[in-house]
Amino acid sequence: MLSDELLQLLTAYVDGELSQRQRKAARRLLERSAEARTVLAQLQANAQKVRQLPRRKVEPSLAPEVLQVITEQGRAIQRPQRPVVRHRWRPYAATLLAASILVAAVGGVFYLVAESEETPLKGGTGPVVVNSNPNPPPQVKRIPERETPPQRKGPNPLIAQVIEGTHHDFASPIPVEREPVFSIAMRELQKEPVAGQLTTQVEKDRAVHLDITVKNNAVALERLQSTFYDHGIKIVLDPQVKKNAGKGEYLVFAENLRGPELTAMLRELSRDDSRLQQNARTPFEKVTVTPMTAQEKKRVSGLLGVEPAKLDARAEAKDGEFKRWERSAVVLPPNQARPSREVQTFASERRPQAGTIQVVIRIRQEK
Amino acid sequence: MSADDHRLIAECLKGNTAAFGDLVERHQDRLYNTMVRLLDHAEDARDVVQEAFLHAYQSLHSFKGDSLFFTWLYRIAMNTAISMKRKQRPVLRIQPNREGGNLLEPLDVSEGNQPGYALEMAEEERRIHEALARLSPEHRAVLVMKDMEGMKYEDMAEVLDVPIGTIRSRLHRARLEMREILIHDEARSEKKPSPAIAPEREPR
Repeated sequence: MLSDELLQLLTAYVDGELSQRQRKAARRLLERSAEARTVLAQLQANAQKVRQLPRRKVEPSLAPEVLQVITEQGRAIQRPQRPVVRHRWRPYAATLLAASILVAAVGGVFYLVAESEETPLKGGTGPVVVNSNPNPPPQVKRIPERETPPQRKGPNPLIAQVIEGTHHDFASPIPVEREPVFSIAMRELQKEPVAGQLTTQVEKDRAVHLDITVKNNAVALERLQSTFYDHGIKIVLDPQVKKNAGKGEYLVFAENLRGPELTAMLRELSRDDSRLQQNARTPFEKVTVTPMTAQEKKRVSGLLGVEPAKLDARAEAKDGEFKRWERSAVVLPPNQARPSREVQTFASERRPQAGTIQVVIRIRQEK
Repeated sequence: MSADDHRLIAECLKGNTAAFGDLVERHQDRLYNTMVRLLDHAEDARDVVQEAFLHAYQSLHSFKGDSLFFTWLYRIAMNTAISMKRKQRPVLRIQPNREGGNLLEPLDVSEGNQPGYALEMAEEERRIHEALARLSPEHRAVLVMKDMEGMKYEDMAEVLDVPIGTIRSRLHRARLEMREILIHDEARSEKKPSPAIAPEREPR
């Protein structure tokens, strides 16, 4: 019986995408194993059969129809748009301008009224108002420096939070003084009771923050994508993460997960993947459920654009399974100053469901 | 990218819409063939291909030419198929032999003029088609891209927006699954005699 590793060598041989060294290894295997030769012959024959399937042709009217739609619906080639430069001062400037106009208007009215009151009407007998306090107290309310600014309300709180950089807090190391509520080597998750404990732990809150240490960030990203994909969850990569191929620390935001599913995914990640030629050993080392204060939980929910109260409304929970690609997750660098187009698309397509878990996973390479 | 594609795209960008018609004609059959194998439904495949071309036209400016035009187009078609699925149209279904009698293309009779050859070929095609249809959409997609289109891992990863490692492992699983299906299918068909090959009785 050929091992999965050897079978993978054979399937890659059929694909014709082996390195010179791997090809030599495959040939050595074929020389010594009759079973390998049989399997290879079957795989090659099947590939050949697929290759020989008749080619379907679309009816020739397609091209004229496409051109007709373009003409009739007035579809045009979209010119590249100049990147939108967000000026943080613009909303404030507009507010300041509006406030100035209001102050000027009120001031003008006040001045006119005062003028009219100070100028006695012909034959008038009314009293003359005299301002007895030449230095009235300032009317502008000063905001204490350490006061938390009001939460920005908008359709995409994730974007707002990313702009403001508040999600940086979630990439910070766990404070030493805090005892982790659950911390375990990933391999331990293969044990049923341990997996059960994790499910119980993550189901306690609707917003969960996990801290996962890995041996190699890039390999971990590849495994994460594969696992999310297998669960029908589309992963949106921020271009910076994509460009670095996952090197360096990153955060994963996922929503609409359920406790057992999250545990199952972590268990899958904790397993060695012999299907992969390289990096068969799991890069995932340790998972910690980070303890959070009530304020932090609220912020995680806010980060994901969901009111915690709504998350707790189990009565509104979605029944049944999620369809494939109904859910998305986004992978972000921890120091992103401005949301990329990909992150904006993710935020705009979100459909958070009550009764599910919203999770922030910090992936970091152990030093 | 081929010089012809390059020239036609440049023409389109200058405002020559007819040049896009030529681009459609160049790639329509290849794209349709792939989509019909992936979606297992001729009508849905045609809709996806038409919509993909319309999207491609509107986004032509964003095509940088650093990959093949077909790879770029393929990716748009895949996204269109997923988007159609989101709109509750079950395009990525698995229903073997859904098209019934229309499943097979007219066979090239000149290739095998011998009696029974066409029937045998048709039966073989049906088996492969059914085996493909029984794979998950992800596995079917990679097999079609690799074996029918001869695409490289790298291009497939770009089209499906997944890492190369994922492509490698999916292809591995897909090939083994396909092998299992065909072995079982063969074993089953050996147990019961096919009416197509049952000997006819001589009339007395």
